[in-house]
Amino acid sequence: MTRRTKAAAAAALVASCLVAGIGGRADAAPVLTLPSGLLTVTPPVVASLSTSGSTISGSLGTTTVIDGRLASAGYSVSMSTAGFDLIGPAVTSSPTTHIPASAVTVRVTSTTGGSASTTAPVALPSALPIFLFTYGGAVSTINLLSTYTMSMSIAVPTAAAQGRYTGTVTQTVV
Amino acid sequence: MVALGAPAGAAPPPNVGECAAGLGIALLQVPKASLKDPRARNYVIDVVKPGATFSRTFKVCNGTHAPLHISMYPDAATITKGVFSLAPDRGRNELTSWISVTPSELTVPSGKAAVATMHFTVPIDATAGERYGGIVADAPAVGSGSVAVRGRVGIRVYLDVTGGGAPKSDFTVDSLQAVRGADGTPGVLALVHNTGARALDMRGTLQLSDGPGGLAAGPFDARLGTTLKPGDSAPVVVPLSKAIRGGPWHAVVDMKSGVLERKAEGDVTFPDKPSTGGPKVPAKAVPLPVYKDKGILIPVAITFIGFLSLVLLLMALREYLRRQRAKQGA
Repeated sequence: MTRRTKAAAAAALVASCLVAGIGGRADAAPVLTLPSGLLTVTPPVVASLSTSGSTISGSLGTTTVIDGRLASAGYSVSMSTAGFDLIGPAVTSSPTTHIPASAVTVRVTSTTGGSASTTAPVALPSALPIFLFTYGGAVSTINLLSTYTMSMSIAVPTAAAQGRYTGTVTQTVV
Repeated sequence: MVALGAPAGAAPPPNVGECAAGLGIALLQVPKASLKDPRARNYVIDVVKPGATFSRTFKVCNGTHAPLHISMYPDAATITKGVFSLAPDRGRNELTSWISVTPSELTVPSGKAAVATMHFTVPIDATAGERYGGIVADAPAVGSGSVAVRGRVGIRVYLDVTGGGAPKSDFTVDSLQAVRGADGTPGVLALVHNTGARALDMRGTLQLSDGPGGLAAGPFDARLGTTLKPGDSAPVVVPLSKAIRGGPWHAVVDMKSGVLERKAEGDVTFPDKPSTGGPKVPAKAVPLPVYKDKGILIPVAITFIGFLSLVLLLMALREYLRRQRAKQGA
């Protein structure tokens, strides 16, 4: 390379730096396809509840979460429900056939593979996650497995018609 | 309440086909510029200008033993008391109105994965600031009893809109407190204050030295999962071995969020009684080597590149003038 071409190359380099703007950033940044690993949830299949007086309570079963992300970060779990609705005929006549979410509380009863931030009962729907699931260490380990079991308690309003109610509880892992 | 115990894990359930057991989701694309940032591997953490459009692919995986009808959609999120959480069900905020997912529904065979794309369209009049949301994979409830349990799993989105340069991320460790949990496990709470303009996902380690009899211990990993939005403060928990007792100990915490790192130190003494905490002691910042301090590194790098550019320009000018003089001489 001659001295002249060297100088020209140097000038071109300077010009390209100035045009690009050091530290500049395009809106549509180029991306690489690079799987991070899955965050997976398996909700329980069976919830086991029983009635005692005006309270329905029992286990919501065990949820399994596998955090296979390469850079694990812990995760939060939040619960919600739209409440419970009467299905079928009412045993007693009452206009109240809906049990609202505010009558429902859930709590974490056991965990494995990590730690929950709280085991206190939490009313639904909750703006806060039921718990923050965190690992005790081994941040670089992939496929971190954790399980947790929750219980649910429903304070049935006295005005609610007697009968069979059904509803869905949603748990979100993020 | 802070639960410090960390029970042992169990063996993972077997995979179903190519998927881990359950309903799974994974981000498939990472911006080239963020390859070294562990947060960018799991979350969408882009910084964009008003009017920007971009997209990212992600994967949903059916690790159940039957075909699964999966809905995918954006959901609003909040960061409250150090925790990132999604709205209960298809929550709406400004960010969710900028995101669409294609396809929005899929039936995925057992043990198989499918790819979908999240599209971001930031309005030209979007104001500066960071927004929070998530992309959710949602499967129908299972169970045949009175109570059905539905599972949703998501990818976090921290989207920052800026009109100028990249917003600054920074934090301080304000205090350290030695505590002992209900089960007797000791720990240190490092109070982290987000002093930057972007959310932080904290991780880090703690090293103890100069303990009773000159003992040293660690490093101990901090609990993951604490998320701080700009201006927030929250304790990051570092659980320790039950063998750690008394004090004083010299504690050095090394906290990180993405590629940002800060160190702080202080002397702590562990209480003997369960469910108690020692005094909060102010944490003193420990300077990082320049190459590790991203806050300093960027201006240093810009100055260096600017200096180099100037030198190259002068060299080019000198060469040009020399050639001109040589021509005139000839």
